[in-house]
Amino acid sequence: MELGADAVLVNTAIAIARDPIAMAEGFRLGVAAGRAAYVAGAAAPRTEAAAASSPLTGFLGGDR
Amino acid sequence: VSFLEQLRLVPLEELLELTRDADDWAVEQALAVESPDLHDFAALLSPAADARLEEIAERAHRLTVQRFGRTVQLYAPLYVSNECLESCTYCSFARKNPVERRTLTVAEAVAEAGLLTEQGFRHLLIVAGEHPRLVSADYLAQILAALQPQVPSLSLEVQPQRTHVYERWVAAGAEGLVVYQETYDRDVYAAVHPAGKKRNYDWRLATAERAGEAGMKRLGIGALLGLADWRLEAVHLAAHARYLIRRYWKAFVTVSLPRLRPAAFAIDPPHPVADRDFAKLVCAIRLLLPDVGIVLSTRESPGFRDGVLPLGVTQMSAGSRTEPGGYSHPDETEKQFAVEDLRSPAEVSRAIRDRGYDPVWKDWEGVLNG
Repeated sequence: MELGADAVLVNTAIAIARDPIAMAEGFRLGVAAGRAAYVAGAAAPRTEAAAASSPLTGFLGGDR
Repeated sequence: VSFLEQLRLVPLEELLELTRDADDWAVEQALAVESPDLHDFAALLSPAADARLEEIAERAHRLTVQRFGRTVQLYAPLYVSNECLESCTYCSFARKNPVERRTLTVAEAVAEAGLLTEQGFRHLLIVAGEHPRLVSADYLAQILAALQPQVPSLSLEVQPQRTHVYERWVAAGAEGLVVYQETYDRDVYAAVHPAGKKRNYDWRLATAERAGEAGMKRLGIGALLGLADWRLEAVHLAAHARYLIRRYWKAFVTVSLPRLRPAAFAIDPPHPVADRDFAKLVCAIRLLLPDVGIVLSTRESPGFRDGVLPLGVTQMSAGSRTEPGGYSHPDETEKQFAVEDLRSPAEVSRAIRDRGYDPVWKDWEGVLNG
């Protein structure tokens, strides 16, 4: 949900729960919560650190 | 069709040439298409891709997060025996080497597993040397049956077997099989396996298929990087993983990219792989195969593991001991190879969290096996 999934397909986890109806309700609330948080939009994390120009490959050093 | 047959249809020469001298346009193309093919994959490995590496990494990262979330599954190897009749020139367990040999009893294996589950592990990889009598199908079935009640996910990395043995192991609780081809280069394969059953390249190559037929849920393949040209290994490995994903679509396919490490009595890697090329390979595999699992072992240093993680890694080992009985009695027996990341599982787990990822100890439960 955080990534913007449109739907959740759940079968086994509900079917084999001790109380499937309660478990289904649990999943329903989980999905609703995720959607609400996604729509609300999380704050951008605040950082004091400088932004790296190569955030993913900087660790490789400059040995190109 | 078997992978061996399909491999004959793969234009290997053409792909290898692309990995060496694809031009900027080919790299541009590879990044423009929605589903890259093997030609695009090869172009992404080329020197021309170096200038675009950050962009490639960004794409690999996004794809990984989309398919797997911000998660890394943790597992530990459990070495049950270093008895081996093979002669691999890169391995300290080779038969001619004067290392102390040890095979755990079932009770000792259970004790080792107990130490690992105490640390949080729920995925264990049972590893053993290739010795049909001392590490028999029966012995491994007993180990599986004994561990199964306390470990939800058990995989094996042991001597290749026939399909009916895999079926037995699945019934005894095995969920996955890991088998590295070591090297896909036939000439190098023959040179580094001078004697023993393992000389049969084709039999080893079809091992993952036999495990798939037997119903293993996780199929792991890999190449020991450093034995031959890494570009050749990369192209074969990618084609192999793609074949397994299509053919055994119910299974989760993983690839491992272990770089050859120093080991007692073993050869130095004739074709070392640079960090940058390794990172490029991880990204290219992710772009070609969005759903494949990518495994990173403790052969790599802590800083490098933390750096490669967001590029596409989905599984990591931690706190590994590569000798039988090593968790109960460290440093008593010769290790298979030197571990570079010596952090404890708790420390690795913390480093994963620090990077904004969730360490996943458990993602399966036997009750879900339909």
